[in-house]
This record gives sequence, structure tokens and C-alpha cells, in this order.
Amino acid sequence: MAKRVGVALVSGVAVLLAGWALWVRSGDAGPDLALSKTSDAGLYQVAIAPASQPFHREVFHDWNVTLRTKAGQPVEGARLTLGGGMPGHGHGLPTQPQQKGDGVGGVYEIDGFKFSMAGHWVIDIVIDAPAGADHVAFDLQL
Amino acid sequence: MMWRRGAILLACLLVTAQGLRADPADEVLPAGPDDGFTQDAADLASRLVINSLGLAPDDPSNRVYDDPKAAVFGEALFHDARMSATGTVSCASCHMAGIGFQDGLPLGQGIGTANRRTMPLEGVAWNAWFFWDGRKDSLWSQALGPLENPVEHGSNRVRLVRFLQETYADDYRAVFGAFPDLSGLPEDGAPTGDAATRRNWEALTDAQRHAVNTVFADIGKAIAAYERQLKPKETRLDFYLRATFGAMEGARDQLSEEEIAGLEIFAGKGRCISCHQGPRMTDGFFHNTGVPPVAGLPPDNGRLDAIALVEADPFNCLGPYSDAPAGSCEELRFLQRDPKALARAFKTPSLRGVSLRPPYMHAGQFGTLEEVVRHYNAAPKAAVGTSELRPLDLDEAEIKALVALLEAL
Ligand code: HEC
Ligand code: HEC
Ligand SMILES: [Cu+2]
Repeated sequence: MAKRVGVALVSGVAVLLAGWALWVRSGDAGPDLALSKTSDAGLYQVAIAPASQPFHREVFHDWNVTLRTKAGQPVEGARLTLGGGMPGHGHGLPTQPQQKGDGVGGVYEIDGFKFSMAGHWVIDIVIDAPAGADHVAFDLQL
Repeated sequence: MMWRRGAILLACLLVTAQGLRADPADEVLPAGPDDGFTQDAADLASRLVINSLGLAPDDPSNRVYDDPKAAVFGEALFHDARMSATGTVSCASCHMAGIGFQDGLPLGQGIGTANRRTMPLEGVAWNAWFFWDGRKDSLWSQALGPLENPVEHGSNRVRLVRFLQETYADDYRAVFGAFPDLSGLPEDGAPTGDAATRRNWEALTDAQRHAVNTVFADIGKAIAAYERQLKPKETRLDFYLRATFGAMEGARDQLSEEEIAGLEIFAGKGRCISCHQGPRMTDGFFHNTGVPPVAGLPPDNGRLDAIALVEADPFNCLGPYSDAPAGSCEELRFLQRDPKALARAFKTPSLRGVSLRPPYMHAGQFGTLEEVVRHYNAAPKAAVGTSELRPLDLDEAEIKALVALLEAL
């Protein structure tokens, strides 16, 4: 019995510790790291993802941006302007990524991302499409 | 420290769940730290170890880059002072092997005095951009610069190509094949240099100019094959990092208590590791860090002025003398041109062997590592553009510890 209580106590403490560790982690992690968001003015649902796995920092990597209307319809023919940087470090993107193609099926291939260091990055996307101009920002912890 | 390992594990799991934390370095050093690092600092510090530096990356724009014959040929050219106008200057005059392939001077000294500090060459092949401002996009194209620079070798491409044909014909043919038709060339000729040199260049036919440029570029390609072999050496820091973050036991005493404290500041409070990261301790990119200009030197805008130069350079990755297949040359195609961030931005130097090569910064502005650390601690405003630094609030003991770490690199 005493042993059971001991085990329960230990595992309870472990759970508490794990929870605390998580809390500590989320405390300093800060930004919302979701890879799928609604644009600022609410016009679009935007999702981003590396075009291939595994993702490696410090080498060129293509990303896909998926653009849908609020109702979930794919948005084609948009012009995306990419920006961003590391807000904590006060510098922008080391490269200028560019849109390739017209977003068939609402999926836009973006070439030329290269994240030069570890840490918190922001990707800014200015969207210019027939349904209106809008903006969205993603936070990444790389 | 157990909870910390737990937190790291959890955090790693969380991040990998999103598929974004997959770095080769993770495989090299999976274990957690025991010294007093925070999780992020420990993660970054573990990536400094030299093992994660593999083979120097390929350069598709240089077809002889991994040819050992080219490297031997390039080594001879690197040391050959006959390639200078005075017969006294070679690459090795400024890039001296015994002291990390630099010269210990605030400004490089060739035929005249350069406006910037000679850069060390160990590990140089891992760069995407060359020179303090990155105005060259390959090692071979970089090597062409000093040869025609009036304060370095002060020669010109027609003279150099003729010299090569007279002195190194067999070596050249063994690596590159037959010479193109170089008949009817004057003694001197180049698009830059004195009036007579430029006049001669303009008087050549297109085919002659192309032939000269081809062989001139090949000089650079052979030298680059040699430079690719220059690597930083393993240091006490690497032993320490492997002992601390890996499985190797018993080498932790490689660093003193003070040096370890310095490493914690380097990777934590000092934020050094945000730019001086990875096994070479550089992100390879350009930052304005508010290093003051030197009185008496012409204004130096750093990266800002390099953009137009590298784009217009006939010897860049997209140019006619590059061997790169279509679709490569990403660095040039996705060049960051945003002028806001580029004024007086200079390339982050590797810090390996840094204690052996004062003075520091792009024009040798600081004589000691202590001056460097005090600069970062104060984070003064930039003379031009905006410094990315913020004051660090390090006390005297922390400054001393950080200097001690830099001495150990
Ligand atoms: C007069 C001294 C001098 C001579 C001679 C010289 N260099 Fe340099 N080297 C420098 C200086 C100064 C810089 C930085 C110049 C700048 O940023 O504008 C430099 C930069 C470099 C770099 C860039 C390193 C980096 O990390 O970006 C390489 C590579 C290099 N030199 C190789 C050579 C080669 C190859 C030769 C011979 C063909 C040569 N150098 C001749 C002084 C010299
Ligand atoms: C924002 C990026 C950044 C940060 C943060 C940073 N550095 Fe640097 N470091 C650079 C750049 C860029 C240079 C070259 C600047 C120049 O020459 O104008 C440099 C140069 C140096 C040099 C001189 C190396 C040489 O070969 O001349 C040393 C030493 C150094 N840094 C150490 C540190 C230390 C220690 C810290 C932390 C307190 C630190 N750096 C933080 C970017 C950074
Ligand atoms: Cu950064």
C-alpha cells in the first residue's frame, strides 16, 4: 500500500513537473505558431508549409502557401509579396523569396526561402487578389 | 537538472510535431546539457561543435572545384608573387598560413594599402558571399578581384593570361584542357586600370576578350579548388561541447569555469550566438553592428553598395564564365535588395581562431577582444543605417568571462 502511494506520489510529481516545464516553455515561446490562419481583414484562409520534408534551416527551401476564401474556395491568380524577418534580432529575411506560378488550385509555390539562423522568425504575406487586398503574418520557431 | 532535460525533451517533441525542427545537428548531439544553460542556449551551444561541419558545400559554378589537380595548381598560383605588377605580392603575402590565413594588420598591405582588414580563410568555402560586403558570389570569382586591384596584386587579366600560358601551360591543360586562341594579345589589357590598359582592352575583338576572360576565370577556379581545402581546426571548445552535449565523458575540464560562464553568456544573455552560430560561428549574412567608420578612409556602406556590384559582375554565378546549370544560383536569384537593412552591414566573421588574429572588425577598428566585448555591451548607435544591437548590461565579471571564452575559440 505504502509502495502504491509512493508510486502515485512520484508519478503525480512527475506530471506536475512536466506540466510546469510545458508552462515554462509556453511562457517564453510567446507567439502563436499556427501554420494556418485567417488574414488580418478576414478575407482569406491562409496556410503555409515547407514544400518538402525534412525541412532544413540554412539551406534554400521552397514553401507552399495555400489560399482559400472564407467559404473555403481555392483562390487562384493572386499576387503574393513575401517579407518578414526576426523581430527579436532587428533584421529582415536574408533572401527575397518569390512566388512561382498562378496558384493553381489555390496552392502557390514560393521559392527562395533561406532561414539563416535559429530562433523566432516572422513571415509576412501581402495578398493581392481579385477578392481584395489583405495581409497575414506567421510566426515560426526554427 | 532532470526537469530541464524533461522540458527539453517535451519542447523538442512539440516542435518536431510541427515538422520544423529537423536539423542535421540534432542527430549529432541528441543529449541534453548539465551545465547551467537555459534550454534555448544549450540547444544553440550544442550546434557550435565542429563535427557538424561536413564537407565544404559544392559550387556548381566551378567545374574543377573538387579536382585535386586543380587544387595543387591553385595552391601554386596562390603563392606566386610573379602574378603581381611588382613581382612581390601573392595571395599568401596577405593570407599567411601560419596565422589563420590573414596578416594581423588593420588594413591589408599589397602594392598599396587596402581599405579593409584582410579576412581569414580557414573554412572560407562554407560561405555563400565573399568579402566583408559580399560583393562576390563564389570563391573563384572572388580570387579575380585582388589580381586586378591596384593596391593588391595590381596586375591585369591580359598580362595574367599570357603569364599563365608561358609559365603554367602544362598545369593549365591538365586541368582545363587546351587554351582558347590567345593570339595577338598586347602586354596589358583589362576593363579597369590605367588608360593604356583600358584602351588595349577596348581594341580587342569580342572573341579575344571572351578567350581572355575564360582563362582569367579558370585562374580563379583553380585557386578556389585549393581554398576549399582550408578548414578550421578542432579546439578545446569542441572537446568540451562533445563531452557536455554528447556521450563522450571526461573531457569537460577542457574549459575552465570562467570559460564555461563565458559560453553561457555567448549563447544566452550576450545573444552572440544569434549571429555567430553553427560550427563556424557565423550565419554568413550581413549585419549593421554599429562598428564606427575609420577617420581618413573613404565612406564604406558595406552590403548596400555590394548589391549592384555583384549583380553587374560578368563573373557571377549567372554570367557567361560560370559553369552553373540553369536553375541554380539561388543566392543571386533571391538576392535581398531591401536597402533598409543593408547600410553599413558587414558579413558576420567566423570566430574560430579569433584570439589569434587581432585587430578586429572590417577595418581593424578594435585592438583587443575586450574592446570588442565592450562595444557589444554598450551597443552604440550606427554612424550610418541602424545597428541591430541592443545594450547587454553585462557586469565586469561577465565581460571578463566572455573575453575568456573568445580567447579559447
Ligand atoms: C593586399 C593584401 C591582399 C592580397 C594580396 C589578397 N588579399 Fe584576399 N583579402 C584581403 C582583404 C583586405 C580582404 C577583404 C576586402 C574587402 O572586403 O573588400 C580579402 C578578402 C579575401 C577573401 C574573402 C573571404 C571571405 O570570408 O569573404 C578571400 C577568399 C580572399 N581574400 C582570397 C584571396 C586570394 C585568392 C588572393 C590572391 C588571388 C588574395 N586574397 C589576395 C587582402 C588581400
Ligand atoms: C547582429 C549580429 C551579431 C551579433 C548579435 C554579434 N555579432 Fe559579432 N560580429 C557581427 C558582425 C556583422 C561582425 C563584423 C562587423 C564589422 O566588421 O563591422 C562581427 C564581428 C565580431 C568579432 C570580430 C571578429 C573578427 O574577425 O574581426 C568578434 C570577436 C565578435 N563579433 C564577437 C561577438 C560577441 C562576443 C558577441 C556577443 C556579445 C557578438 N559578436 C554578437 C555580427 C554579430
Ligand atoms: Cu536573427
